[in-house]
Amino acid sequence: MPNRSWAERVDDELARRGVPARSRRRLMAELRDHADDLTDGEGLTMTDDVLIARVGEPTVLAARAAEDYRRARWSSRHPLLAFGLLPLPATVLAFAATVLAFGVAANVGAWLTVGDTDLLPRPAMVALAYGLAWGVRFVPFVLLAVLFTRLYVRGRVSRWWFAAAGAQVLTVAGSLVSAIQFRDDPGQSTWTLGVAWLPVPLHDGWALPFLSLVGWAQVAQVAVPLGVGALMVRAARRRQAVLAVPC
Amino acid sequence: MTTARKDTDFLNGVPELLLLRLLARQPMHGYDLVQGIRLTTGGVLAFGEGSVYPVLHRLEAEGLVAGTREAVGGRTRVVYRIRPLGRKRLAAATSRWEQVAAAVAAALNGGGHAEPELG
Repeated sequence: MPNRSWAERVDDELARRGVPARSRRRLMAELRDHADDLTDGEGLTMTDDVLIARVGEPTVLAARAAEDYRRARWSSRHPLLAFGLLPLPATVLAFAATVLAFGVAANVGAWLTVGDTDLLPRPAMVALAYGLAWGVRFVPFVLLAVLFTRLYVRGRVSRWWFAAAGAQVLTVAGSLVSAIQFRDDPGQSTWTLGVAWLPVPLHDGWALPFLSLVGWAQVAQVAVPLGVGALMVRAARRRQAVLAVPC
Repeated sequence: MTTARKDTDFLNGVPELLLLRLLARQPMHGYDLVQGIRLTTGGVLAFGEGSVYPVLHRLEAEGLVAGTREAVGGRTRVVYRIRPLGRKRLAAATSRWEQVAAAVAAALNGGGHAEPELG
């Protein structure tokens, strides 16, 4: 059984370097087995000095372990798939998931308050519709920014792969059009939804806007996920800088 | 510090090669693998024994080895076995290492290449 302080130091160092709890538990269990084998096979008493000399210095062991777990990540071994091909399908999925989640939340909310969505008062319906129309402009892209930034930071792949994924997500974010037009007559309200480089169905026909619909809203749609990603990268860099300072 | 880091970089791939080579002979657990490396390399390659486990876990994630907890000598240990993909990787890595070793040996012996002309 390893000396408790040595084992705790290894576990702490692994946690500081972002090694997942499940991997930490497995590694610590095998290190305990190894220490037991050293005791049984070589008659060693497990002091801190023996553990450091034979099994490894906690910071060095944790650093090597973190590097190996990073290399074991799927996104690190297949950057073309993760950062080159995944972003666009993931964008579609994130968009659909956002609409679905919003619809479920609206239905549950209506069921709990008035019993049916058809019974919702008009101001509440208007608020829900605007919430959905604005939500799809930002929520999917913020989720994608979090996802791909985490993959980049944890996988430590080339920044160009991260840029490739970001370019795809932000291009869609910057060209997404989502606009509600409310009318008093029942059934006459419209929700215009599309991508600015594709024909957009409008209430009076089709439009080929060719980016003419892109305005300040689309600039915000790019800026928000870009800002989230930048903040996450900055926070990760600061954590790594702290780890690099010798204690 | 700098020297140690360079040594680590230089040895990248060597622990994998040795572990796969040992596992190609028979299934083994971590302590046996460390002893095997020490014996087969004559103690020349020494590193923190704990560092073999993250390498084994990575090889397992890459589908090169499989680890299962089994009873060994009255205790339970995670015993690793090489998989078919691991044997292919071992063959490729062995070939590459032999090429590198031969090239370095040729360079150290000063043979095979003409001296660059000056002026």
